[in-house]
Amino acid sequence: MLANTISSDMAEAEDEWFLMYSDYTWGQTAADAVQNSLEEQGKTVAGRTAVPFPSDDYAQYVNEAEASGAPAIGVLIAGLDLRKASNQIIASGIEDRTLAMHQLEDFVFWGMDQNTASILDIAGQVWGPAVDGGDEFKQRVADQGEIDPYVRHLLGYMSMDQGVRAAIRADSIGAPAMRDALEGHQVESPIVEMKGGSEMYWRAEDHQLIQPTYTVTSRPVEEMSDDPYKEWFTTENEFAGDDVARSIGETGCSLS
Amino acid sequence: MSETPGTHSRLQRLSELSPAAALGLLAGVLLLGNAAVQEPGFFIDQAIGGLVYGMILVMISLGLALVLGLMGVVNFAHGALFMLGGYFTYAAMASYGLPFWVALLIAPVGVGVVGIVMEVIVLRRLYGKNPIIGLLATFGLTLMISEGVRFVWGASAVQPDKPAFLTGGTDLLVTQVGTYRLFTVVVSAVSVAAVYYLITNTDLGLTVRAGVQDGEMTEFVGVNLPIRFTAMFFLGSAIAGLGGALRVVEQGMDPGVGQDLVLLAFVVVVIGGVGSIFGSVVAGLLVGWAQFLVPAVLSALAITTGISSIDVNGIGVLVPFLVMIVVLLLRPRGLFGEEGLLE
Repeated sequence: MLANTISSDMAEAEDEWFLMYSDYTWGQTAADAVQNSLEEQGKTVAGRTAVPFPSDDYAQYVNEAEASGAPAIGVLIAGLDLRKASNQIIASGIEDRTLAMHQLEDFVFWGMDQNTASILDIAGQVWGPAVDGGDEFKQRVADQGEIDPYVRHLLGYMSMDQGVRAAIRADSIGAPAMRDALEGHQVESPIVEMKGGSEMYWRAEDHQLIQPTYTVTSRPVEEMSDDPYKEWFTTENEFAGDDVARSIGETGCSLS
Repeated sequence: MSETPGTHSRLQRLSELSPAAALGLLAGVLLLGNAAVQEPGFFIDQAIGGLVYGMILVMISLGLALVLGLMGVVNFAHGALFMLGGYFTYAAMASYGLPFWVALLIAPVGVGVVGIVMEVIVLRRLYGKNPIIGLLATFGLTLMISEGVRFVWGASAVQPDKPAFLTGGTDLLVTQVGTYRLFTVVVSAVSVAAVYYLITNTDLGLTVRAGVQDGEMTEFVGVNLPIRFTAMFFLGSAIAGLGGALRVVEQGMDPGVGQDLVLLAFVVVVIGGVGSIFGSVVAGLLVGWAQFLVPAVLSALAITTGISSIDVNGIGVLVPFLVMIVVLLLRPRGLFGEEGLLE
């Protein structure tokens, strides 16, 4: 979903891209999806490189991106490795290129200084503190957890919320009964408001939670806020889940 | 033993290549030449990047080589000490507001003190015993340190602010390298020189080397070996801490970092030859260059031959292990290893 989320903004930003992706199932899937989407929109992928995940050094892959001459780099890498890659992109002096990141967790950038974090042009998220919704949830995480809220807090809450509600609907904690209770279920719990209020449902055919996604961009340093919790990014666009989820055919999933 | 008068003769032996090895070397030179011609800018970037990365590996491996080579302890906790250096630096800078330079001094000393505690309480009882016992003991210490760090600082990564003058890149005319990485290279080079001098030219180094060769006789002539071994362990730990201190500012640190890097440090030490600090320096540079240049060579070869499948994506991560396999096949004790150590 996030690959389709960012690729339209990527296509709008630059005509030529270099893709750096984690050499792992989801990284390869994301790279293929982003490349297909860019090419369908008439854009070019000048090169792509698979990066071992995790990796302790990104310099050689940043060199490849630089050598490609592409004016934009798509970094399809998750977690703390994204921070290492970003640090080395800046150190290599190519931060003036357009930078897109596929799956941004705000927390990854919070460890950096704000100047470094402000380089990000486009990123995809399923949720973050920049999303317009869930203010009470964010505040409670900040107050009771003494930590700045970010996507994993919401995903953890969402998993528990949906699991418990499925068990109540099914009147069972057996996996088959809960699965039946989730298949095709239209989500109506408070989690919908936390994610901005748009439609969410469990797709019956592959059990994927179809949900809204977002593109964000770094705020200028002077607009980054740390109180009452960190907000360093701004939501640029919201996408309906149905618009960015791959079709059943594309995913290759089959439950039969 | 670290360096002996035999070093030069070993270098000389290395230069006496068999025809097959000479042919391999020639092929390597041709492949590098092809890469330099096909993609000159990328080749230069990778060559310099490999040198920088190699020196970082040297920094990480140095303390391990010291403890393993001089004391025969397979210190699996080296990575944990490296990580601890990073967290001490973070605490000094972020929690106590100390300047970078002060933190760079305090953190290694703090890690060195932790090393002393480890040596006195645990490792001192294991000298002369099967190295596997030391390995298991230090693995246990690794888990304790990791969990201690998790308890104090949490599982999230930490990274203090980089000093302003070390941010950004430095233009080397042909390419740009991160200023902080260049700083790391300088610190590594100074550390290597200092350790080399200490081991080969000071009383401490000479008596420790003598003690490893024949502890009984060394103590018989009045040398207090236990305190010297403790001092050496302090030094090895402090160097690991320095590596971590440098690393946390560049890349950040989390409780898993040490375990990832210690494996690579072991590869470097094995390639260089257990017991040889000089070998670790050579091996660190060799691994750094190989990791950066092999992808460049394959990319150029793919262009030359038109066979795109030659350009194997992500091969860089395999390279250190391939280099280790080749070196061990040709020289089972590593490039500069000596007979007897850990055998």
